[in-house]
Amino acid sequence: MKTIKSSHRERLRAFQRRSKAIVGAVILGVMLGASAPVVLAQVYGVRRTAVVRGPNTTVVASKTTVVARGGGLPHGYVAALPGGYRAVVVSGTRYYTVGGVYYRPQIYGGRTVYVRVHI
Amino acid sequence: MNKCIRSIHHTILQRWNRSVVIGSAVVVMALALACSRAPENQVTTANNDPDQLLRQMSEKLGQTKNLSFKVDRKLDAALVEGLNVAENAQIEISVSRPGKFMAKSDSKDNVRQVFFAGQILSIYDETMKLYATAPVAGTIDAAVAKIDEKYGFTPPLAEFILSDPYAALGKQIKSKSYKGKESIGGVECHHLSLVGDVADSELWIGAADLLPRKLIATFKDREGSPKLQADFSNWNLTPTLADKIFSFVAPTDAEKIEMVTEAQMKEAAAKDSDAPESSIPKKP
Repeated sequence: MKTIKSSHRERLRAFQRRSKAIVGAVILGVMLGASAPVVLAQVYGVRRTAVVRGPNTTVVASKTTVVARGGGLPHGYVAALPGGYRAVVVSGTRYYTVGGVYYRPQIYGGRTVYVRVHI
Repeated sequence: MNKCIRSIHHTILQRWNRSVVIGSAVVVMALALACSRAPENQVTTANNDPDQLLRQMSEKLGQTKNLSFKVDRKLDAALVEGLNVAENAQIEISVSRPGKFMAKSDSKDNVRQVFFAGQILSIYDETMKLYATAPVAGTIDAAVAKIDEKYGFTPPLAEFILSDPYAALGKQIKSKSYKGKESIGGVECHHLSLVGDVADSELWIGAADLLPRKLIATFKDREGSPKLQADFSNWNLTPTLADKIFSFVAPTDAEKIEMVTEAQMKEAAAKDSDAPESSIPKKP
């Protein structure tokens, strides 16, 4: 009889613990989800300035520095194709060519850019 | 006897169960109530407190489930990456909270669209008939943060479509001041001046509807202090938005290309040579 009683009591306690945990997790999740602000690296869609950091994330230059992107893509990339280009398909992939130079399109920064490739 | 004990415990279990269900229901209802406050019920009392006005604008935008608007955006040449020409674009933005948005940008040289429906980010260059997709999951806030971090861009004027524009804008603003009332496109507006680390902004908020009407941001750290101007219009806070407008379906004549991450581009930049030139890569 005692065994039955204690067995039911244990089940009851276990159920209560599980229920409390679930309700707590739901409330915590909602609170965290609602309170986490989004910090963007863009300002109105324009790239924010960058802080130069050294090892162990120590700020080396405390003054913010503009990312040197004015004209702004790595060597070999262009944001627009030179005039007179034509599209070609090589091995099922689309390239653009002009003046003997080939370009492969990619999306970067939400826009199409073109990287020079050897074919 | 055993039956009796079982029955008592069963009753206790049922009561506890009921109280948990009722408790959860109360929490959910309270949250639902907090989230569904009708925008038109908000206090629209005009005042001269720039922080309060910014908060009211933010609350109105953040609490609206579906919204659509247009932006006439002018970017000075220095703000258009990779191109040294100014860009004027007409942008249409549709939002369905918590997890869908679509933006279409139409400029002289290019028409492109961004789609997000909770799982996949798609960008379609309509002019060149090229598109790229990337797995991005979550709410609009989570997606915008992920896109920003991984792919180095955000949807146009993303600050205004987040669930808490005040928090997003607040990260950029050091001080605010009230400049008075002015008419923008025939709409009486509060003119706020916002000073930030990266950009100083002038923001005009509709006096009656508390919606953003005009933004001019001057990027003072950049050579020549280039400007971004955004004229907001066609605000609709109760649009009927079909789910399909947020999902990209590739046209048959469009080609899928790679979406390059910020890390990949930094790596390419670090090589500082003809390194990006490569032999024919595998098709994405």
